[in-house]
Amino acid sequence: MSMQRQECVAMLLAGGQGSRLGALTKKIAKPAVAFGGKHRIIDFSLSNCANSGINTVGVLTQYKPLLLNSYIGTGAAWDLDDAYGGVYLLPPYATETGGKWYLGTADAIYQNIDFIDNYEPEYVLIISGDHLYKMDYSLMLDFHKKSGADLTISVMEVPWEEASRFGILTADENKKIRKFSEKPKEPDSNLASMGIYIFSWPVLKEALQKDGAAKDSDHDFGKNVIPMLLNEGKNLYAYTFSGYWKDVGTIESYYETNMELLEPDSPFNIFEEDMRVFSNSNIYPPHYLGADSQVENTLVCNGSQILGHAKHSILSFNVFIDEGAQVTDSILLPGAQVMKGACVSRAIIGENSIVQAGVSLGSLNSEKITVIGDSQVIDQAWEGGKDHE
Amino acid sequence: MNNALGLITTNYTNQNFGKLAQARPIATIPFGGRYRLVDFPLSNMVHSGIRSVGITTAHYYRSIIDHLGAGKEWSLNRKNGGLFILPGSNYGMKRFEGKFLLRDFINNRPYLARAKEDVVIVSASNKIFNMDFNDLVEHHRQSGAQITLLYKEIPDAHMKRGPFLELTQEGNLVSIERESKGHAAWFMDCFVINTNDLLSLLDWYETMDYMDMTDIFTENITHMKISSYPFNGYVGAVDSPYDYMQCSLELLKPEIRNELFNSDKKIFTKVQDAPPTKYLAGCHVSNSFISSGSIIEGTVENSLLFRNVRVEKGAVLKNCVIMQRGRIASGASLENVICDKFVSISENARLSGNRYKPLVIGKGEEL
Repeated sequence: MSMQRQECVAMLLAGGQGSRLGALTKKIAKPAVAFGGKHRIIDFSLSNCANSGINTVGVLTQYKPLLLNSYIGTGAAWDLDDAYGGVYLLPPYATETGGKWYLGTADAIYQNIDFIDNYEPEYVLIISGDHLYKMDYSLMLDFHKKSGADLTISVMEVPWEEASRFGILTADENKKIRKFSEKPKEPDSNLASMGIYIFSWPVLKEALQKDGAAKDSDHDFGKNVIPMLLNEGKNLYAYTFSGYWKDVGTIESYYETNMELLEPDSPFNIFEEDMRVFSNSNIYPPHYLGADSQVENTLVCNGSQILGHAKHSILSFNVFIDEGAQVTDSILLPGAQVMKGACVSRAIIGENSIVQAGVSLGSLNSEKITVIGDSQVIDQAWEGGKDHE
Repeated sequence: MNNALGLITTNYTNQNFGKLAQARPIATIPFGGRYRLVDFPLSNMVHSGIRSVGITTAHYYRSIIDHLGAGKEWSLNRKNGGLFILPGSNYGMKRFEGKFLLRDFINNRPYLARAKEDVVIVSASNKIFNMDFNDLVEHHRQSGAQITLLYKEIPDAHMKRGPFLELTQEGNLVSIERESKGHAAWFMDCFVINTNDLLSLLDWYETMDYMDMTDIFTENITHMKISSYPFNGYVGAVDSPYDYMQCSLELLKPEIRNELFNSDKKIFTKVQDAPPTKYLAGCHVSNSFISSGSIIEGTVENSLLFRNVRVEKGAVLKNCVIMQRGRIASGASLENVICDKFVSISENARLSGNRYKPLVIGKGEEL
């Protein structure tokens, strides 16, 4: 392990199950779920680190980490295989007093204090592996330094009617945080925490040790650590981020966020060339569109072969749509196949799943999105509304 | 296969290519939507288990170094073995025939002399095929040959550029011919040679280093066993813009595409992390091979598009190859055209070549 001193170390929380994504996270952790054709969700935070000049990233894993581990690998895909830094997978581990799982977001960092101490950092950036956004953390770090904060929380304005779903911060005109309330019933601010924190390391270390010793704590940053620091009178500042940010918590928001990419002025621009989003993908050949194919309003990735019709859909790597098949308003994850004459509407087809010839899956009029998990074979008529795991 | 060394030659050109090979060796001509020609021999070697590959550079070698880097994408950034860039000699005038200049081998003798491997697979970089070289090496060892030349049996030799192999019934070399007719053994610009025999040849011919390796084979058939091995798969040869267009359009055939690209042995190339390709409402695309990062609103038929190409509304492409970052403005119409990288075609432009002579638009041209 390189132990080069680092100004700022990133700790990336990637252990969550994302249980509301149902069939999509049955076999993999939420950060490993495919998104936008060629990405997995964790690409965004790893690319942000690379694009912000942060080259030391600890990735905290816990729930079904196999795919995540192999996907992250050495971090080379995000230029993070750096002689002066690197990506380190940090699963829970055993000690002489036994082993325990990460009990909460703060506990995951608490159990890795030694990892962070190796780098003697001044600052620790805490981010989540399941958010979709492009952000230059170095600007937030500049703000943190200038304001003399102990903790800077990245915030965004949310519509007032949605404010009660978030951790809401109330700040004064200097952006100093006066109040923090987790999912308030009657919010007095619409500045929502994005779950992105920069701590001055000594402050964080002390707070984690206190929180670790507290028996009644859930060991969660939002619920426990931040309120504690606020009570202690520490300097907490809000850093306002105005770009696109999304936590795709549910199938509906996962679906909508994917589909937004098809809009001409998509608020989430994964196509622009500055702040590129990297990914670790196999080298597939270009995709092929057959003589009778019809593809409109659709994203297509390498390795795919499209002989049938695809409208308003997202087709990931290595997708196959056979002759006479129709895919509409749908997301096909890597390796999904839709055989001859099959019809897929308003559905998400998991990785390497097959919709057999002639099968009709999902419905354009259905309110609910039909979700097929990974590696499934669908060989009977299917009505929307039921998930297949 | 741990016992073979790889050597790829790129220090030759071909006047037929015109603009396409003006500032780059044939090895780095972009091909197949995202590849360069050198990716084929290099990937074949890596898939055959070879982990030490030398590549002789051409006079214009910027694009080779740019493309290969440290060989990361081919798993050749290694502690044992790896990718070795071997400086090619300045040959003064452009070489058109031989692809295996002896001087380039002699100048890089230490790379060969230090090799622990007992055979060397040597390949030029203008043939397109996906092959496991283990079959070739096994045949070479079993036959007891000192050199084994790889060829493809073809029925239409008059349609192809040589060289062709004259072989005995047993498959031993008689001569190498520039032209042939009808059925012939078409040399795939690839051979395997025992490392010791290669080093001996380099010593014998040290004062005649202007010769080509294939010329000295025929001089030595009386006292060396020079055998041959037939390859049964697809072979594309890129020796002119016409060939280039033919080979490109052949990728639209599923059996050829699948053999080259969809086997377990993927052709590796430099990764550029382009986003998916966006097909907008109203586009018409049929029978086309398209790489990532493109935005398509017009009509594309029987064509190949490389990365980050834009085809605007009302633009029409038929039988075209548009390389990286081509911009085809609305209303433009192109037929039988090859656009090199960074080409920009203005609104309502009409450009066409014909089947036998595709129109080539040079790198960065704006029309």
